[in-house]
Amino acid sequence: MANTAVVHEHPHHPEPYTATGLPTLKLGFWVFLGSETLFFGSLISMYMVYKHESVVGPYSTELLDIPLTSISTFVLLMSSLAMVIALDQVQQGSRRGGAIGIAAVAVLGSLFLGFQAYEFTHFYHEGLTLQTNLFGSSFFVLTGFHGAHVSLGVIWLLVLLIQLLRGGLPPGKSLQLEIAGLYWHFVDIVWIAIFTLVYLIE
Amino acid sequence: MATLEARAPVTQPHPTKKKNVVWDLMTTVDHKKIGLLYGVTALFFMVVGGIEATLIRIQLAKPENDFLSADAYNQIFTMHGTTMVFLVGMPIAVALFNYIVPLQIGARDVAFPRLNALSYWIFLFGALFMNSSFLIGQAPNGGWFGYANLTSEQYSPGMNIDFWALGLQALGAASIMGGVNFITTILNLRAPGMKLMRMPLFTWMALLTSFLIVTALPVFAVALFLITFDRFWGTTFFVTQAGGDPVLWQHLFWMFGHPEVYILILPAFGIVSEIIPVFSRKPLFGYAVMVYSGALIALIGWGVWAHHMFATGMGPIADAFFTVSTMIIAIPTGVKIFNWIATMWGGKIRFTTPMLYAIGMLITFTIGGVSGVMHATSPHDLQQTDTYFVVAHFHYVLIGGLIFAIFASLFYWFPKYTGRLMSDRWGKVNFWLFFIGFNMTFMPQHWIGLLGMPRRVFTYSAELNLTGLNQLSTAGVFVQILGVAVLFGNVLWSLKRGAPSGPNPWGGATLEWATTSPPPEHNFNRIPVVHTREPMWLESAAAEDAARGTPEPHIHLPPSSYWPIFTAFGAVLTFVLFLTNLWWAPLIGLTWTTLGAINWAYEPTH
Amino acid sequence: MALNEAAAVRPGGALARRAAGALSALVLAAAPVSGQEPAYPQTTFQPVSAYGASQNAVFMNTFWWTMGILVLVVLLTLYVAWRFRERPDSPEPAHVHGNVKLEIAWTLIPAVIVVLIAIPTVQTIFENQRRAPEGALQVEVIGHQWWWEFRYPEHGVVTANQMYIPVGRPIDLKMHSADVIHSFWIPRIGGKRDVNPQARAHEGESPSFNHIVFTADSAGYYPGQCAEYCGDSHAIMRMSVVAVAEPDFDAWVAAMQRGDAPAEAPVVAQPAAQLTVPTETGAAQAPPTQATPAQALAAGQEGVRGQEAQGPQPRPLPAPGQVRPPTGIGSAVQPGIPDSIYALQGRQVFGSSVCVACHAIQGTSAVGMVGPSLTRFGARPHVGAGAAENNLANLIRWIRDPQALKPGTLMPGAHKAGGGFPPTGLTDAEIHAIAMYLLSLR
Repeated sequence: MANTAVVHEHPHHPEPYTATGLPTLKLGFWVFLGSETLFFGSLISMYMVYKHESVVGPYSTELLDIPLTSISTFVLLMSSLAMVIALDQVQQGSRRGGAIGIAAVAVLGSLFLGFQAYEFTHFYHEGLTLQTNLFGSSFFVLTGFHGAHVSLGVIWLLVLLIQLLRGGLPPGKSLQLEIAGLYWHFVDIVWIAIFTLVYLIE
Repeated sequence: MATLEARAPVTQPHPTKKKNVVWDLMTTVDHKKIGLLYGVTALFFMVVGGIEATLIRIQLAKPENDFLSADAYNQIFTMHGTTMVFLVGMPIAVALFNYIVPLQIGARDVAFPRLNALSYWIFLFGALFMNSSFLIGQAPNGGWFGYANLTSEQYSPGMNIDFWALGLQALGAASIMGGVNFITTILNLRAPGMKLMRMPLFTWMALLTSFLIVTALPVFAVALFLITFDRFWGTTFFVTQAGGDPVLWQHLFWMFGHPEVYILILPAFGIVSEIIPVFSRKPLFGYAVMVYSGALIALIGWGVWAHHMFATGMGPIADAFFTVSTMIIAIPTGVKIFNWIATMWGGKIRFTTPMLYAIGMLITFTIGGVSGVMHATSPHDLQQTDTYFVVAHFHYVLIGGLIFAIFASLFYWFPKYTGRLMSDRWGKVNFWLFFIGFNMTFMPQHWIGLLGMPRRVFTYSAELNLTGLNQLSTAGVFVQILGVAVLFGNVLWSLKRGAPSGPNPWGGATLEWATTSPPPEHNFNRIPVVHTREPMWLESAAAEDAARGTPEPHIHLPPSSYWPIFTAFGAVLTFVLFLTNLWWAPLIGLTWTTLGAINWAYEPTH
Repeated sequence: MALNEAAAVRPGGALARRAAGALSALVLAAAPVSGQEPAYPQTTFQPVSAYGASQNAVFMNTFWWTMGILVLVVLLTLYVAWRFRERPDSPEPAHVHGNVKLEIAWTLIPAVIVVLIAIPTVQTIFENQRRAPEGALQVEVIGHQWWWEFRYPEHGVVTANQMYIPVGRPIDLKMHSADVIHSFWIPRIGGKRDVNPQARAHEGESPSFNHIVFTADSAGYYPGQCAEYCGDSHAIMRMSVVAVAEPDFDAWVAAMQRGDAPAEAPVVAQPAAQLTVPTETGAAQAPPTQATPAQALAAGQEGVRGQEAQGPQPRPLPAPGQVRPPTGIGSAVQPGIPDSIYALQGRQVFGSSVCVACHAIQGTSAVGMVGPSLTRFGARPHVGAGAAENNLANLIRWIRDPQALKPGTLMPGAHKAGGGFPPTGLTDAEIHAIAMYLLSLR
């Protein structure tokens, strides 16, 4: 590229000028999350429309386990707390604190996925599959998409963890973790909505 | 020439070895090159969609024609609609956003240049994938609206709908990425002093369009996932025997589909709002109202979707709601039209080709607008819907509105792309041919519909007594083809022989006219500082100096990258391999994509 | 033979006449002429029910308001473009940025017009979706790929592709689909409604149906077709409504109920002399409410043609046969054998063939439910829901190879499978006999 030669590299060069004052990556990611909101909004609406339309069992009321899911919801909420701490540690330049924090988020996220895997297999043994009825289709697709998002988040965090451990995540680059954090909190909030609308509300 | 002198010192500070043009395009992250790629691809698909349209009209030139079989006809009308919306209308607007918006806001590139390239390559591969279905004779045949439950495995057992659903999923993802990119670009990369209310109207409409894209496309993505899972994994979303409701598809589809209409038309409003002031030599009349009405259209556009469904049987309350909301949207649209006329009032109007197209658009779009209000009259929409009256309506909006504006933009911005003007004389020939051919084709369709001919029929009975009108309509197509042929000839001729244009051939008001034609890779030698809405009218010396004067010492541009095309290929491959019905096959594509994404993430961008 | 003569007078292709047709269509939009046989049988401008008329009325209201705006915009645009064109002496334009009063004006005026359009529109929305009044005749409309089933629960009658209704009595169409979404549209009756497949309801919930409620004002033959894209042969999913006077409707019901049950006196006794001849360009029509089934049949027979052969009704058999069956069938036909013999033979062949697996004929042992009922099939204007005119030649073509006339149809041919069904294996002689039999069912 013609212009590479004129580029200057500073380890701590100031944030480039932006019209809003927000880092471009962060603004873009917020917009993306807005788009994701509509994605999950549509999925949740679909679930709500079909909530009571299954013509054969097993029905949602027979299967959904609120106490168990409350625990997994709590786990996911705690992971968001860990995310806040991890980001704080990285911003303060604590590699060790940051690593523990990120690892905690990843572990809690994986634990949540474990709960989901247990729930899915349990439902499967109760005779609920994707094909069984509208509840099966809409439940697995909705929570499946959410689980896929959590899985992606865990992978993302693990990549960042490696990067951090290799010294690639100094406070000046904490925006990378902040973005992952935005994503993580978003996925968490989506779960709150799913938990409320799918599990709690009759 | 001053422009060339200004360019030379910056773009070639350290001449590098000459690159292969193809490799350069495959790896480019330059918004201008990507814009041109989008534009050329969209024009190519316009020809494809045009050929499909011609076949449709030939089939309907006489009753009980056997030029096309029912199956072929159904594939062709489906692909005509899908192509024109997703492979022409949207990408051609994105082409302009790419090329023009960064120049208008005084930026060096878009916010995420590699993401921009990724969008393009996914779009291209997705488009090719969907059209490859023609090779096995199983092109999508469920209509561009793909209504469930006709599109379910039970009633469409072939691969036709699979190509459609998977192809559109890829195209939708590309559009969302583009939308995110442009919102961020416009909000964050504006030159100092360019407040929101100083942005050119075209950039405003690009922003609103992008908001509609990022909000509407995810809804469509969900709908496509549901139908895909129904077809591949046996879910029961639209299986009536299991309690599934095909009408849910209609809601999801039109919740996307109506904002989609505004995704297509708002850029056209933006283009016309640029051209009319320049060729009237007057600022846009009621700038603020133009912005707000555009925003209002985008907003209300979200609350009118079910006017596509009056015949579905939603009940009188929903019908009344969507009738009224739809009628209300006519008000901000009408305001725009009156403001354009008021912009011309008292001006000094030059009848160049872009201006002719803009004025033509004003008239033809208004015709589409009033037939839109007739649709909103929902009791009678029950007569109109699914007839040729609707076909006439939306072609007046999409050709009379969007395509007229796109052709206007081609003449208007061609000098910026190439440094050469297009022939105005041939431009006018092309305008009149196209204008007459267009009206000849679609005006009769109003009557064809109201006199009883439904849409999407591969044949009709002579007893309808509509043969004459159908023949007139078909004849019009050939006049349009002549018009488009003249246009393409003009483009090719002008690329080599067009008169040199200089940076600002029309006396344009906005920043893209400050820099050279074509602009250097970095667009502006220094980022201009803006104090007014019309920098090239009110502070042109400063703007030109920033754009073409002494370059700033360190200009950083992102290096080109092959990871976008690599990743895009993996993403579309995933969808292609879905067709194999082997559970592990898409994982190959997914792995490919992941590999691309990781390399992308750790590719140095400095 | 009447049916075939009609086939011979299919409209020619005189371009001038078509151009004239196109022109009159343009005029029609502005000034609909009511009360005449329309030049366009599926026009929306000449409704024959209050339901359709109310829709036309709101349309006309909207039409004139929006035309006013359109003309204003076009004239204004052209005027401004001309008046302010660049001339050598044009002054440099003043940089006007807007005018608040003007902008408020052209926001408010359209808003007022919108209100003027919206009020009657919303009123009509509610009026047209009222429940059917007491005493309405309910007809169950079932859409199939690609034909229409009409059930009359009140009378226990089932028919296909041609719906008989009494003039003057409210009709309540209760509609659903057996497969994909269709849309019921008889333009002269009024606006269409989608015919949705029923989502299977779970316990304690009853499925919902779409309805059209209307009353036909005048007797006549009103063609229409499916308006929602529904697959391969969506274009060939046509049907018609035949509106007749109440007594004639009762006679039709009686005839349908009897079907092909062994002999009784002919049903219809009214003389056919009253029959007036509706011409192509649509001048004459029988006085409303006096049309007999015979007239309606005549009208229905070949759209708006085919009349003179309506002698005493019903004839036992289609016609004396000057008409030779198409090539390949000839061998099946022996000279000198009366048609009635073939029909009788056909009745037997039909009854013992695979046909009865899918088709029903009232009064016989054929009770299949998959395909359209064939009761009094000979009285229908078309074969295959509008795939071709109903005459011996076409019917034979249809039974031999329905896919050739109607792509994708579920009906298997003699030698080709269709819709998952094996070929019927009927011989040409059998097909000829079946066709003669079906045409005799009038």
